[in-house]
Amino acid sequence: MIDLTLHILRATLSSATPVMLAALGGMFTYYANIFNIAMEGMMLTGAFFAVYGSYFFGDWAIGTLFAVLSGLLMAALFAFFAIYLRCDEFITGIGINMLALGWTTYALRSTFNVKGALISAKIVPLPKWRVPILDLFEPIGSIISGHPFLLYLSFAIAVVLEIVIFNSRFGLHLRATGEDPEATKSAGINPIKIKLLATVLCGILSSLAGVYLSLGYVALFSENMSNGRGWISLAIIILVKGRPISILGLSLIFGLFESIGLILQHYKLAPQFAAMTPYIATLFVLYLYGKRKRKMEW
Amino acid sequence: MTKIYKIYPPNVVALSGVDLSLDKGEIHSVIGENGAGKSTLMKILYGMIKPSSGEIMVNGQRVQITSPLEAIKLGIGMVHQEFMLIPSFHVYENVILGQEKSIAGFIKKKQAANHVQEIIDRYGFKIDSNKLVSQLSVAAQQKVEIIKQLYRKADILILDEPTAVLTPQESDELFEQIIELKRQGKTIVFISHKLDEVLKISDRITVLRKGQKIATVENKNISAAELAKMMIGRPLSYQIKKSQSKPKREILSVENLSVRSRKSDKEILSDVNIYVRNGEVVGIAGIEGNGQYELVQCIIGKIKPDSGRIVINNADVTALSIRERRRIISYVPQDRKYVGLALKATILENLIMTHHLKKEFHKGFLSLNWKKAKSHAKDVTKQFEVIYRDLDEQPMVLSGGNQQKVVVAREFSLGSDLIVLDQPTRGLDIASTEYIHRLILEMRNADKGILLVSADLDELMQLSDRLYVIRDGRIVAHFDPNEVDAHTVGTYMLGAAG
Amino acid sequence: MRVFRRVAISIISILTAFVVCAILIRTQKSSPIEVYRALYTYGLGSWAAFSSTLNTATPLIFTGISAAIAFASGVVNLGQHGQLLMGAVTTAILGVYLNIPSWLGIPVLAVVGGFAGALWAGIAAMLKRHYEMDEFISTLMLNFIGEYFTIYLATYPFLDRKAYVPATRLIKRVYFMPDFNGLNVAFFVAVFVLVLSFWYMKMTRQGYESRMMGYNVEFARVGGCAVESNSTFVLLFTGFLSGLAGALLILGGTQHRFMKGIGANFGWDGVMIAIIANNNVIETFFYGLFFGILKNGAIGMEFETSVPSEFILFLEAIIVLCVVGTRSAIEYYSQAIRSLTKLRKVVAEK
Repeated sequence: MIDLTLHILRATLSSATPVMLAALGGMFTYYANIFNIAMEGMMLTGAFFAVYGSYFFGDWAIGTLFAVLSGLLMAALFAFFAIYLRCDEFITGIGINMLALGWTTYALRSTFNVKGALISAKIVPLPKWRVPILDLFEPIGSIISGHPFLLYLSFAIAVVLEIVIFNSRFGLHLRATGEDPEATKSAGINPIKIKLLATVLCGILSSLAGVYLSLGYVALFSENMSNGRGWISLAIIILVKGRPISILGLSLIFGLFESIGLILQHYKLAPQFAAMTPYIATLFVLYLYGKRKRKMEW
Repeated sequence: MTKIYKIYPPNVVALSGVDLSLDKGEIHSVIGENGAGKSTLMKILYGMIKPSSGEIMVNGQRVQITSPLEAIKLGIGMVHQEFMLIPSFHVYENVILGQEKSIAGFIKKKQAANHVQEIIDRYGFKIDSNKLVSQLSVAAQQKVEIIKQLYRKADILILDEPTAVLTPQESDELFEQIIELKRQGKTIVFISHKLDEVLKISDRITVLRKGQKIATVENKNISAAELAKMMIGRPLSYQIKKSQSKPKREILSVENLSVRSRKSDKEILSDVNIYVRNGEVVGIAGIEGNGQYELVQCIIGKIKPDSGRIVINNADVTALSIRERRRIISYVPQDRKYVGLALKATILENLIMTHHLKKEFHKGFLSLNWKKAKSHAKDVTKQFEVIYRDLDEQPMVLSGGNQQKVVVAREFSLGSDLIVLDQPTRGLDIASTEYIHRLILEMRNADKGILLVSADLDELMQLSDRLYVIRDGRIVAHFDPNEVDAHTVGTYMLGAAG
Repeated sequence: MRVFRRVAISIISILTAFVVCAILIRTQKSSPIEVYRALYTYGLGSWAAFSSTLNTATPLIFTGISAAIAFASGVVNLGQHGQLLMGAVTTAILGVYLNIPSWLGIPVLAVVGGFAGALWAGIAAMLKRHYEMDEFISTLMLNFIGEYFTIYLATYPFLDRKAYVPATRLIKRVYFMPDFNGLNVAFFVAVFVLVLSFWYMKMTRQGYESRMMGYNVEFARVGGCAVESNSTFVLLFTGFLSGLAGALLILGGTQHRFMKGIGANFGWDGVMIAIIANNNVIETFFYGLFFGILKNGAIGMEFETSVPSEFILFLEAIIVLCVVGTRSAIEYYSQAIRSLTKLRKVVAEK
């Protein structure tokens, strides 16, 4: 039983990471008041290009670099349509997500000549990191230590962003832009620049979420492998109104649901029901939130 | 500024070859009615919008002001008509926004707050720099805007319609501060359409009409009537004459109405009692944000009150939905672009809203009678003098005055006994305002009961048969406007009356 | 005039998309002309190709109209995928066990499938109405839940042990929908749904209210429209249309059973079609046909050129972005040009 608990907690951290990274990315656009739903697509291309780089260059770092570049490209596309051409953000987001799905599916077929999934020993995963001191304390060590380093980085990013958003110049400008771009402009800040920056940061973090999916969680790429995690991250952002530290907390809760679902598979629960848990969890949390909102209507 | 042109896409001419020069240390007023281009001209000077053509010189240097940042660098500051403040930010954050002192990108919050407080104290404003802007009154927010400009060390200060949201007392206080600023060597541009104010404080006056400059005159030996003539192109003939109202029955009665906001846990309306009878205009005066908006929302059913009841034509409607209430209420909302109209639907579709609930607009079990809809639209646009090209056009292409006429045409043709008007003339030019005033009186003479909420005290004094003053969600006074003057009403609005 | 303008903008946008894609095909070292020719031949080139295109387009038309009506009413139903699957699985299961004559069975199965979709959307509708949960996220989540749930049904309780992949058993042969010369009856149902939807949106009072909600929900609410119940109805109705798409996929399509992946990308395709059609049901129908050509032609394209059929999904996304991008670019620049000419005039008059 204790083993199981440890296992679930360990898996929780791992499941929470990609959702959290994408949510932190979306947090920037949320504060900038861009209705950005493209995290799903940015994550997917990130996952694909991480595998691409890792496969061809035999190096996870190059994979990560490729992923980040693809994230930048997606962000640039989003910005071109939504900010420069002033298309509807929601529609642009759907277009970007479809583009990511179509592109990665197509590239998987045309580059690797496989359908469905690419599994290969040539894909070098992210290195795992043993946390020096914590390692000595069981059982904490076995929960926390030995994950891909990106996991630790993401948790650190969440904490740092909490400080940046509420205490830095950039945070102030970002929140001001989101709340009232005209007023921000009138204060001598270029809101377009801030929005661009927010989109770019979102692209980078979301693509890192993709890296974690395809090189950290596992070492493979499969069609549509983000599988709604981008949407869940959006739900998280909306629920916590963007606050980074709460994103961290809520992501852990989702990670917990996902890992419980995965574990239950070993206890004769059909895998399909296991796979459903994060989505049901999202609905459930939204429901709780809706109840609270109803009370606080105005 | 010379030969400034501005065309708003696709083809609205806002400014056409306007020149303006400012001398150092003067108070220069720019006057004109709504839509004359005053704000546009000022926003160009401040870099908020790009002129279509024209040039700007500062201290003899030709400059390109492409963004407010450049204007700020040139020492130009602007207090916009619609405040440019971030409501969820603290006062000091709003003041330093864009000009923060930071170490490695991080702001020392305490230091910043203290520094802003120093400036506030130095100029004798009474504001706490650590308060949230959303908690401040409108007048205090305006002061924050001025402080923001002082923090930026602006030499040229543009005040766009600063008195529009103030009571007479608050305006007087503002004028003292303006004169004090002038004494310190600042140049002030004062935008207004209220002539007495302009004559009171300015050194020179520039008059704009329909995007053109009419004249710049010294404030010597010039009368309000002369200015008015320049401003609207004809003498101000307009005067409201109305007979004594003879109400017989109650149309609306609001009894012991209380509303509490759960979000801020504040009483928005407390124990409000008002009534409206047939054939009278009942005004509600109050500084914005004192509960008048919520009162209207309660009457039309958007807000469910916590206690009290609303009776229309002797029927208790408190439990009814908006849909049911709209069958018996005509309502002109304050926000015509976001509530009064669907700008992307057609004019026709806008004109039949709410009418579509009536039997005569039905066809068969489910369908709408489009033929009737069209003939109705043609009738009311003619009757209410709406100028348009095609009923299939979007209201987006209409001028502000015409948009409001669409709203008024739709609501007044509903034939309801109760008409609720929330800021019906805000932002309109004088001709449209006059027209709508005339319609309101026509409706009154047709025995309708009219509730009029307005921020324009003059409008309320002229039109109302009775006047309530609302403050902090309470009705604090109930007058016959013939028996009091605006100053007295203002005292009640401020809560300064015994 | 307005119709002409819209058609012109659409054509320019699609041409832009084709040019962009031609460049991309070039970078993949294939010939764009050959690709497009293959798309044409296999999508439109003969009656066989054309009827097959219409069949392919049928589910797209349903999900497209579903999305278009929802979006035009300000209801963000993105759950077409899940609703379609629920409709399909319901029809597929009942089609195995139900025992009634063909003339009654086909319509009953179709309608029941539709109701299954409506029910699935109804969950989102209920959550929206009673707990103010955004239908946009809840319908999305229900997509995933529906996907896994239907796969579960086809993998465990209703598995056909003789099939190679998880699938339900073949429905009774009497419930196969007939076709005329290759064109399935399902297409005519789609045309009927188009007419019905058009009538609902343009002619009925509720349709008027729904459209006004889509333009400006505050305006509609204050104007006395029954916003809440209309939203619920729209969610249920659009869910029904998606469910019907799934049902007809089983009754009319080629598989006649529920299997993993049967929903393909119909849900999102429908959303994309509605978007480029500006939520207009008539335009949605034509874009549905257009996407049908692409999808049907893709099989031929893969056959004739070295470009895999997955390329079409990519092409569709490019088309969406090009259409919305071109549309807003044209709007923006035409206004800029108009204001510039106006400026010339005003300055000259002075």
